[in-house]
Amino acid sequence: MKGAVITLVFGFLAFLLVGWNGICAQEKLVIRIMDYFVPTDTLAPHFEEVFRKFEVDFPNVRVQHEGLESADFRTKLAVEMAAGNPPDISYVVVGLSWEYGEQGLLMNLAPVFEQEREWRDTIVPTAIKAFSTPDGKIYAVPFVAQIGGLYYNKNVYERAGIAGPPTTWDELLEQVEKIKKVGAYAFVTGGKEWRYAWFITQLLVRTAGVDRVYQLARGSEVTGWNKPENGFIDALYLFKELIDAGAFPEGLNGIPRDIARMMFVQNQVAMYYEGSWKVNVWKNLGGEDFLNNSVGWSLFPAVPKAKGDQDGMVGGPVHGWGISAKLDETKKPLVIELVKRITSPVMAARFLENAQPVVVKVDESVMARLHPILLRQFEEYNKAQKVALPTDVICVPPVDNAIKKIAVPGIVDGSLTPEEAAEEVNREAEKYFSAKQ
Amino acid sequence: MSLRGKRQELIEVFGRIPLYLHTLLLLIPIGWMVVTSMKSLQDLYTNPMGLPTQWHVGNFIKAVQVGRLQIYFKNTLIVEVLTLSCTLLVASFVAFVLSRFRFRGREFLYLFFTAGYMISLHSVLIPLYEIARSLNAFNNLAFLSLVYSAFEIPFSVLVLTNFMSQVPKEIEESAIIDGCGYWGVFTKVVMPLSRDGILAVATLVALHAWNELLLALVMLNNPSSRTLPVGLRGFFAEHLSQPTLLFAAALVVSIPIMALYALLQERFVQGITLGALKG
Repeated sequence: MKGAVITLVFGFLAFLLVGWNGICAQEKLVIRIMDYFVPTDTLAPHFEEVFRKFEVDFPNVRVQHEGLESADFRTKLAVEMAAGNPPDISYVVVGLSWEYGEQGLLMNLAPVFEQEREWRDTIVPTAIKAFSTPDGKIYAVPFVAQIGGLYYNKNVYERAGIAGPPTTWDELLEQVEKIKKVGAYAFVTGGKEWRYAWFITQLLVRTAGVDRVYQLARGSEVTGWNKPENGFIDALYLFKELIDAGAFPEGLNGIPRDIARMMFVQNQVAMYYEGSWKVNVWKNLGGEDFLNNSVGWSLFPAVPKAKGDQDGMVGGPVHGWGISAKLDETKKPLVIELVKRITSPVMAARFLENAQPVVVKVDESVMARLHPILLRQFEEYNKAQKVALPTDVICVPPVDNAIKKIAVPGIVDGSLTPEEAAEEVNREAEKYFSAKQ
Repeated sequence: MSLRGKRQELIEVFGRIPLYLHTLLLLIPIGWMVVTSMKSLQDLYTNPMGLPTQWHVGNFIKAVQVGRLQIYFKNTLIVEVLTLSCTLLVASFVAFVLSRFRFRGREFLYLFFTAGYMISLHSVLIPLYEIARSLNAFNNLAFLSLVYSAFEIPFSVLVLTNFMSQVPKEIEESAIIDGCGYWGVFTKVVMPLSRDGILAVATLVALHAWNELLLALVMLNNPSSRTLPVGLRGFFAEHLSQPTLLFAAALVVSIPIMALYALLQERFVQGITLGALKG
């Protein structure tokens, strides 16, 4: 009897373990796409629409869309890439596409674009150039761009008696004092999620210039973060100046991004530096009236004493769709077809309507419907002589992590001086690039 | 009532005040969660602590539908049952042998089974991923449960061995004299007498399996195979999170657990307390 019970129990477990996948095996070809458009994301229904249509057009295919929370997405993508098993399609930033492409995990799309001229022509040429490696390889289909800038809360400005956004660093510091006097904070960000990359890149553009940002991230100065002449230390000093002036709330490293956004919407904070996506965030959190009447946008102030680009911006084509290099010949054309559909002008229009600037050409009528702040961002971006990609997009992952998770939080909590923080970043860079050689 | 009696009663009443305050303190976040779950997003962001300007009871339905809670709940329950069954089955057999028999290599076996407690999940994540890949075990809840069990067995063996070794040898001998075999001793004597320990272990194993995120995230690719911890994070969108729906979802999924706890409260507490003493 007891033997029978044990056999039954183990038999049941063995069935579950081995038999499950066999019984539930999909006869259909599964295309797995991984990104951070979770089911509650405003763009998720548009993706679903494309996928269901694709399944109708290709009845032997099932599209498995894995939309994960962004940190979870990065964790899972890192594990899958490390195990050499990339998703069929993944949503990657430029820097990561180069990284994984060089490791043979993402497909070089340059030959595909050569064959698919019509598709390639729907994408803005500068975006293709931005996604290309120096030897002409393209490891992701460019799709989303971002434009960094200073969102300011007009209600707080009015309370503090400030006429408009600062144009110089000294003016910014004066505004910090005025804003503090009315019980508000000058700046906030989601320190808990280390959302410092865009701000720091903007300061680096001011202190070092756009070209130097590229040299530090990918060029001749990849292990020169600690050299004073490269401007990173100066950028950290500027950030420290703001921290010391009390521009940010206490305990910034522990403030979640949702709370930071809430503080801005509740008129507790005067300025918020981030990308274009914030337009939609302010609309959804504060309402249409808040966005239209209380939010302004401007370029980051110049720092006259610094030697970088004083009118340089942060932004550009940041996200694209990477295709696995491990696809077999049956799956490859289907996956490419699916990527074509998710980067179509129709899909691009949906992204634009959700304040996600795209690098796919869309109808003028779509542009006309956009919020004035977004239009202003496009205008400034097109005018800008120099634009740098943020460090979390262009740097290799260990350096990106060292900047946003070690260096800047260290400046915030006072545990690191700018020199020490730069040294920490450089150490990671040296470790990474020496291992690569 | 005498003066002394009245004084005693007053002391008792006032003595309870800190307990009431403590209870209130514990109830505040739950109350806030309930209120928040019925707010609109704008309401939450413009007035986080106040009452909703309009009660959105529909948030619960939306959370269940958009969050696909019924699927995640079912998956979590499957993982929970399989992990518990497998862990308790293996751990109780091993603990029985280690606690009731004296043989050569026993110490080594004990160390062998408990050493796994020192292995961190992060250090074996990629090898585990490779194993799942080679076995085609992604999206397989049974495989996930087996991995969970592998991580839970060391701790369970540790606790249950201690519990079972407390059962007096004389009872076991009496059972054998009365005609029981080792199976009988195990099922009719040692297991019932270790019930509180098993319950304590079961509680902790169930909690771990219920809350585990990393392995579930990596092993389950198909959204229909997700467990609750992964599923609930779907309310955190990159550009716009949905905390009100998240609270509604968290409330919905915690109701069965709260009901279960209310039913088995006494045993849970007993088990954990005994576990603390004996472990």
